[in-house]
Amino acid sequence: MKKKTFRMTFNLALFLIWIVIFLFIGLRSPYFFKPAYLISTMLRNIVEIGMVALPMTMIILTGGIDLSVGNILVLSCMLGGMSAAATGSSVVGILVIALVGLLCGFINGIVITKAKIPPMITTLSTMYLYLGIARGISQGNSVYSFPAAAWMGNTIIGSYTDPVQLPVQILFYLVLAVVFVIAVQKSSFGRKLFAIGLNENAVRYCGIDTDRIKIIVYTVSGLVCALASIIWLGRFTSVKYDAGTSFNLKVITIVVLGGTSINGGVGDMKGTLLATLIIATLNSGLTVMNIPIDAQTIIQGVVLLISLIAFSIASQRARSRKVIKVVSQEKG
Amino acid sequence: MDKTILELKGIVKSFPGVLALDGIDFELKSGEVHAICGENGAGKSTLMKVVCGVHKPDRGTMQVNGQEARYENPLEAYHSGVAIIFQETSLFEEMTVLDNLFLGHEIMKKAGPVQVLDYPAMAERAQEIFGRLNVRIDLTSPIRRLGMAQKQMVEIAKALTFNANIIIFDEPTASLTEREVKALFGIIRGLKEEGLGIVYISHRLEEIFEICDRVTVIRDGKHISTHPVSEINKDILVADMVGRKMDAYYPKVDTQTGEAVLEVSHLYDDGFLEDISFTLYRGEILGFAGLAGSGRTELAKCLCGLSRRLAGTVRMNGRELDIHRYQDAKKEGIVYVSEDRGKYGLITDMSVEQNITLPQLENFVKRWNLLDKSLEDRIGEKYIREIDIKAPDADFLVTNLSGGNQQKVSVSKALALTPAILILDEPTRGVDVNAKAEIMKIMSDLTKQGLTIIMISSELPELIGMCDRIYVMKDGYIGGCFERAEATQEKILNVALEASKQDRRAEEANE
Repeated sequence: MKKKTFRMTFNLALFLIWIVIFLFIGLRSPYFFKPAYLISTMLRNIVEIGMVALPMTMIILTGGIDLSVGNILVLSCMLGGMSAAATGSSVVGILVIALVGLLCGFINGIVITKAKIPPMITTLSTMYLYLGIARGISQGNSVYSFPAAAWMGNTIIGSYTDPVQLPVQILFYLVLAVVFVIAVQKSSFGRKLFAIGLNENAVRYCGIDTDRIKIIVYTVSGLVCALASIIWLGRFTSVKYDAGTSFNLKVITIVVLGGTSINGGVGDMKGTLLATLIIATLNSGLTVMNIPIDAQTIIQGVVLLISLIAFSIASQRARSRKVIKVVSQEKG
Repeated sequence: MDKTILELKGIVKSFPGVLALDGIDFELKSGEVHAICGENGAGKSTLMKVVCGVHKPDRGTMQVNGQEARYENPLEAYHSGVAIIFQETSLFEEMTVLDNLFLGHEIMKKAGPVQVLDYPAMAERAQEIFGRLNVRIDLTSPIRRLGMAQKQMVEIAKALTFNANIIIFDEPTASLTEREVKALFGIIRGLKEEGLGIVYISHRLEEIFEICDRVTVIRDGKHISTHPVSEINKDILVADMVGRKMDAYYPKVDTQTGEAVLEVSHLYDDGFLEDISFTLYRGEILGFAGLAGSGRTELAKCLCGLSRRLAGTVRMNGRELDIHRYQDAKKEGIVYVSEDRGKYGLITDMSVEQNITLPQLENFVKRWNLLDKSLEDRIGEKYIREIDIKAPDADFLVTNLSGGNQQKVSVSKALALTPAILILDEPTRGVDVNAKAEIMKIMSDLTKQGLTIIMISSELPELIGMCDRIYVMKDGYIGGCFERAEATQEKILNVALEASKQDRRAEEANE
């Protein structure tokens, strides 16, 4: 129980950080506060990263990591776009994208669990593998969007007369976010994820097939990458093989900022959502304020550092409180 | 002779959830062998770890060779003359004897502008020390080629290279043959005559009467008594150690054992277990004794599908079982409670109830696999009540419980699966005396209700007190079986040790 209250406070801290950043930027640059800007620019720009951060939280909770998500995204984009162009069919494009994402994630999962190679190294290798394949197949050329992808990336719900127009991908993101929050925080599957991250041996000795759970998690991650890649392709209309280079680290940054321990077992899906909001606000807000891109990167680094330090202080406090309690029980 | 070289006063050491040492006094004179006695978990090893700087005491003072001492690490202790020789040696297997002896305090010489290792000087010093010990060892041989006894000699010699005058032996004879024990005692007597002080920790009471001058008993982290060995006998010592009557301690009730539940025949795992056959009867507690590494845990794992079975059959109620994974064993009602709670047993950062429900989460969900907290609460509270886990509520984190209560959570987790056969691997390891008695009581009650238990333990009194029959394992096969009435510590130990003697002889013959 103790742990729960503590997590709440960390989420609260994240929320406060977000409010401060949000107000600071908003007061400096009033244009920022317009709902139209917030939703159709700020949130729309983060959707793909935010989506992939959801399964990434699951992966990191189990003590793993996936460095190849951006490359899965680009590879499925390319193969999907090319097959849609070749057949003239959006359905084929979507199917290929889904299949490639699924397969790439599944390969990660199989290698990690069956060959027992650490996730960091496995996905580092597949990152290069998927990047290389994307480059080879596209021969360095751009791959173009197709109608279904364009719909996913550019549809706005609501007409110009409505006060708020909602890009359709935000709807997808919200649905996905709700599903992931419930799956991780409330379901038996989520409980097992935490357990694996805390002590995988003990989970195996409970007669739980930990390999199966991990394969599922990496495969789900591949699938979500595929979904994100459809939106991504639609939004940018063309994608080159090197588009996903910084994507991997951005996703991991969000998860870590959200209070999920990189060692696994400790974390909160809601923290990931808040962190997504913070990064989105920073990205768009700093651009609105005309802060040069290199300074933006520095600011992001500083925010990440501050929140990590806050997290570590908070968890140390929680631990020492626990010890004191136990000792006083002994005496009493 | 009578100079006090080590004096401890009011040493207190606590770990989260456990008060390991509660104001211990201890005194060692030069030229004396002073035994420390106590059951497992009494605090002997913790006390010695405080003396040699592995743990820092919370309170209390320590005087070494007349000076106040407070060590930051074991190396500091070494340099001021305190050396400890652990049960398992801390030598580097791949390095030579000589390198191990002087590791961290090598003798150097000047070679022009740089310092280099002075091997001739080190070899000379080593020869001199081994000469004193009257031991011959090849200084250039890597440690891994040496036998247990020889490794111990190297450890002793290492202590002497630091000019240690206080040497602590922690269960030095646990894995030695009789002849090797005699040789070791010869060396200890020699050191004693040189005026060193020896602290001798052992379970084997005969050894204490043979080699020691005084004996201090500790129990539950408290100093109980210190006697000159010449003034007491075994019974007094045992009474001090146990602090209560044996039959209260092992509340085994005679149960009617029924028909055969599990028949294991000619079982092999992939490389270690050899031709294991035994039968388990309904309602009995079947013990497995043996030295560490004799294959008891491997057998349990093999039965449960946690390791591979290469040959042999396992029949349960006459039906042949086909167990490949632990999931299969669980389905048949065979449940294993690991000896290593922290590593394989519990998820200590989760709550009591979360640990209990983890093996069967599918039974604690509402629709869509969402967890049902009220069901979890109910089972958590049920076991807190029935097994008497001392936790404020079922949401309490396991890491904040004492070792004994953690073990009870482990057992509860297994019981919640309503097993037919429960395999308990070292159920009382790292558990204080009272919790131990409680766990014994729980086991006894369970068999009354018809549960069948396999109990693996390194503590012979516990096995003899609790089990209907005891199999003794050695080097991966079953070396003997004793009925409750005929089992004694001596008989079991003889079987458990015999194999290692044979093997060593075979090795010597090969060389």
